[in-house]
Amino acid sequence: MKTLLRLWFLKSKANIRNLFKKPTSAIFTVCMVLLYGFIIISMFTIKRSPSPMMVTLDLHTSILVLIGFLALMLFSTLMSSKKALFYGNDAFFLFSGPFTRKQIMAYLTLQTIVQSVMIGFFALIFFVGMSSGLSFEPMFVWLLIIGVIFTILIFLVLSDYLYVLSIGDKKYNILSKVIIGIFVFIVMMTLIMTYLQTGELKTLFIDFIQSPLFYFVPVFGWLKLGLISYVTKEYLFVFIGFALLLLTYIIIYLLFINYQGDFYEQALQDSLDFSKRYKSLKEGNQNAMKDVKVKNVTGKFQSGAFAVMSKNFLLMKKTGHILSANDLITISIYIVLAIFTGLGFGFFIYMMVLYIFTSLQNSELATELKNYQIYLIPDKPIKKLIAVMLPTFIKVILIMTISLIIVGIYYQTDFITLIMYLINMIGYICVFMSGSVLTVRILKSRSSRIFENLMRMFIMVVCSLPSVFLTAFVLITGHLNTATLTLISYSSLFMNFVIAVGIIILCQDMMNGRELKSE
Amino acid sequence: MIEVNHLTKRYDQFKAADDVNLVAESGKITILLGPNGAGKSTTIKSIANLLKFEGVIKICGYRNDTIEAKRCFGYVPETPILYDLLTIDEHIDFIGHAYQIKNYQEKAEKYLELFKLTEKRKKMAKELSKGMTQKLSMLLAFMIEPRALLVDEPMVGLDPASIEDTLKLFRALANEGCAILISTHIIDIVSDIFDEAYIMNKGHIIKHVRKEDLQEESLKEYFFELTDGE
Repeated sequence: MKTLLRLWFLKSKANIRNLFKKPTSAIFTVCMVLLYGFIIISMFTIKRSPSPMMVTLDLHTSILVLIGFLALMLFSTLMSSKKALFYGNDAFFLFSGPFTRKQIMAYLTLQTIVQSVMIGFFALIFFVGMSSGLSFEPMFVWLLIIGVIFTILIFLVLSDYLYVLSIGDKKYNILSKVIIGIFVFIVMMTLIMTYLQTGELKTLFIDFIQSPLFYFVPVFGWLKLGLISYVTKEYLFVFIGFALLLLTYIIIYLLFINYQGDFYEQALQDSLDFSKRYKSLKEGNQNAMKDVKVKNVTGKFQSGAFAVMSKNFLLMKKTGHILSANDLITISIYIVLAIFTGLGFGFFIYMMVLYIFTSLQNSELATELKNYQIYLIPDKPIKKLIAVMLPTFIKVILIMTISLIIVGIYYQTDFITLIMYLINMIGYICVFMSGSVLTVRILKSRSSRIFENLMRMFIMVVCSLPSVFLTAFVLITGHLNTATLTLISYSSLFMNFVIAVGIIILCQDMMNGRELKSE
Repeated sequence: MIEVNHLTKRYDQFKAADDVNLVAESGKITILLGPNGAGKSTTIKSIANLLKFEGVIKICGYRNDTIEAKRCFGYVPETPILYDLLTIDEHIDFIGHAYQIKNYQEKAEKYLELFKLTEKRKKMAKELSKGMTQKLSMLLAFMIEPRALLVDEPMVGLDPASIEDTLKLFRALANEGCAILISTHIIDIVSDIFDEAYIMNKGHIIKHVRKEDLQEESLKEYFFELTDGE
């Protein structure tokens, strides 16, 4: 085991060394550590209030949002068809090296614990964001950290256990779906029971959030039971909640490490495959972790640079990405949320901006911008850049228009207002896409999704500057009226287009290649 | 013709290529030889305009960053970069339209036969073996009927029969007037077909040799003498 511990230590050291190899990466790492550290520490210090913690709707909501976030993440891990116990290199040395089964399992456990702690802290950042305004006692924060880590551990070990079981016998493949189905069923039952208790449909969500019936949902309910009971000073229930989490973890862990089936061969193969896919994902292939169903469709190609656009449309048609199920589900959720929570059109527009942000983040635009084959095409760089950007641009506008029409009909919004919203959205699309272009242009082959997002935010800030100055000027001079407010809002929109077009024109030469791969 | 004049490529203080001068003449097969890390790939990528460099590079008389230069050269990279979900036929359509090649299908047909890819033409790139992706990558470079061809380690992944076919194809292209520049460190494979060779080491061209200049000595022996057996 000493050897494996040393391996783990060396790998961790190498990862840290790699992060600090380049000044930009080192600065970014330090900033992220400081930011995350500050957020976690602030939970213990800044928000401490002299008055004892109270159970409020906000606390219930924050805990449930955290649980929802964990559930989404852990269920998607459980459902993932591409599973592996280790990365390829680890699997190769562990399974082919002189290590006992016990040592391999111990190494895997260590890896799972570290992973749980990392995911746990990430989830807590999310919790902090959701719970602004609440104050926490240090003991509550400790319980929260421990509870979240155990919840994650339970599902990660369960996922590993179901994986090795399914290697032994394919019929166990269905178990993940069954388990998630049971969870969904219990939550639905809780919702129905809550409704039966209160008889109120309008306040159903609020009643559900506060209902003690949720404590019967395995794992997630127990986590909430432990946390809420601590605040209400019912320490027996704190004990019950956390004891149930611990017991569940022990049972699943024992089942896992005592599994006697032979899984080495398949586990090694899956680990190598997983590593290959993960590398591809890091390089920007959004479909790397799934087996994409390819439709048998054909397409016609335009001439010159626009052959790139035709090629991208063909790829979108093949993978069904022009209007994917994911897009439709996401938009449907936003529409339902906007309509049923009564948050209105403004909320929907806000969610749409978030949608544009995430959908462009998941598009293959950045990968395509780095594709050397496009640089070799004998055509004008500006045409190549536009040809690369157009498919993503059209796709997002298409989804945006459909969504705005649906919500517009529901809220009976007039046509002109809808067009104005659409132009606004197009402004955001231009800004976000030009952010990707500028990031690839500046950071070249080292650009990443994180830098792209930071760049988009930076450009947004720059675009908003004229409206900020105008607002200040109007406030100082006392000319605040509807006309000046409209002018302020249009100035920001105008800047979105001006800056986006400016970036595209300035960056066009990167499509010749040499400006990009230069380092 | 490919002309490289005073090419220098720096990575911070390190010069991966240092004042490289070479000419790959039309109708000839020119080999760029060198041990690992000699600067061969850097030179090839600079010629393909994928790297920023100091110096002047001309392809068919045009600077390598011009549309005219791009139109007349083909590039076969060391690792084929293809679209996983596009079939062989779709790759051909894409390149045919992108380069605006007239009758591109006829031209591609010849290479499909030659590389024995005809039966696989409806297969997606991700379904092809490593050797086949290499052949497809070559096909795409050949079908544009290049007047200059850049090839980086061309034989990786190819079976012996395909290597033979490819070498014959290089010769045929050269006979049609194409300037071919091949970067490799596998001397045995190219020793029979080369016309001229540039030997690189540590970023420099250390020797330019014509086939007729070699007397009894083989290219391999000559190379090892110059590079101290590296």
